[in-house]
Amino acid sequence: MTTDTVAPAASGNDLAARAAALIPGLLLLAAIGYAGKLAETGVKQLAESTGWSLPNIEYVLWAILLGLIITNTVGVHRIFRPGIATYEFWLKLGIVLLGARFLLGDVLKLGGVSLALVVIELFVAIGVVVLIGRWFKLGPKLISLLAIGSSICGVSAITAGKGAIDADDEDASFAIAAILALGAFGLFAYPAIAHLIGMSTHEFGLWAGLAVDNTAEATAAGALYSDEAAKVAVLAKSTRNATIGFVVLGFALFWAARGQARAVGSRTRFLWAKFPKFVLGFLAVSVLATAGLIAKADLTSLGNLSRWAFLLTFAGVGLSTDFRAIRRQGLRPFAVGALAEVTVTVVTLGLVVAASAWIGL
Amino acid sequence: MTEAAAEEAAQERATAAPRPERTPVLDWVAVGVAAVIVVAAITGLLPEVSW
Repeated sequence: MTTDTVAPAASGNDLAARAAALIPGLLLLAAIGYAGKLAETGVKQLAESTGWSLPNIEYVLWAILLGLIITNTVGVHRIFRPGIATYEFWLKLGIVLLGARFLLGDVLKLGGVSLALVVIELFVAIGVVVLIGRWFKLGPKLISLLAIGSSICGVSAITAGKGAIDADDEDASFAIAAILALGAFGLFAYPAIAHLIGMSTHEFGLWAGLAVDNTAEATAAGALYSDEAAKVAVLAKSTRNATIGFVVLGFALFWAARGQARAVGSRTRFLWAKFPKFVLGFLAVSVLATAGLIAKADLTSLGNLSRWAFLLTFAGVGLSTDFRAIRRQGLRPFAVGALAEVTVTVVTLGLVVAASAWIGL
Repeated sequence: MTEAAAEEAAQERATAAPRPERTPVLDWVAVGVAAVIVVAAITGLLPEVSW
């Protein structure tokens, strides 16, 4: 009886302690994100008041750069880590609320184009990683994880794949580090390339969504180009994320057939378990917005809430990218990931340009 | 071992161990929170949010 009465109180205390542990990191995310926003406005105002020609640096870049500088110089104390890790939650919340800024017709049109291109991208990415991974003599399960990560959605896909194919922790760490490092590179390189070749916002958003592996980094890359490009990047990336179950299932069946992973069981249940539910939330909000159930002013507020959520995400991306940790993971998996990314980058760029020429974007 | 070295070692261990799969739970939490916000918007209870 004593145990019965004490246990709920203990778990309540535990929950309160876990919630309290999030506060320092959340405050840091908010401070860095808001500092990024202030920096953008401050530089703009300085340019206007002085007449100096200063580069227009978006809040996205400021927030990521500030986070990167802190993590890779003074480091982040462990007291902040639980709160910083919530950036994935803010990303998903931001994506669901972004549905308010999409009419369902646009979702179906852009989502349909994205899906067709995603299928091609999946085959290219998986094929290239397997070929190069064998050439570099990486372990077969590490190759599978890198293929899953670079074809779909980076960290989430690798984590899901690790459980499904019974891969080692070390292999998963290698694959995650390589994907994150390459994403950080893409974040800066893709907008620069797009400006150089003069891509439209829709073209760039689609390209970022298809080529950048981590969802937070794909969103940030899009936002670095323009607000509209970020919308399209999120839609394309969410379409790519929706295929996670099929790809992981394929690899799970492959390894189970060789007796090196558990049997899959019900495939329908497996696909549902791996399906990213926030994509359904995004679609549901888009349906409600299209049906006119949400007043225009409230749609604006939902869109702005989505922007605030992304602001916390971008600060979290910078704070979570530790180049020293990436260096410790070793060069070979990174090299395989990098070669695969270059191939995927070129192929997806070609696909987007071709799709734009044929059907218009 | 100095405190800095212990901190460094702990950080390395944290980096080597990949995170547990928390994605499905996080997805539902995000959808749940978003649902509350959207219901507030539909019922006119959402305060104006500026950017």
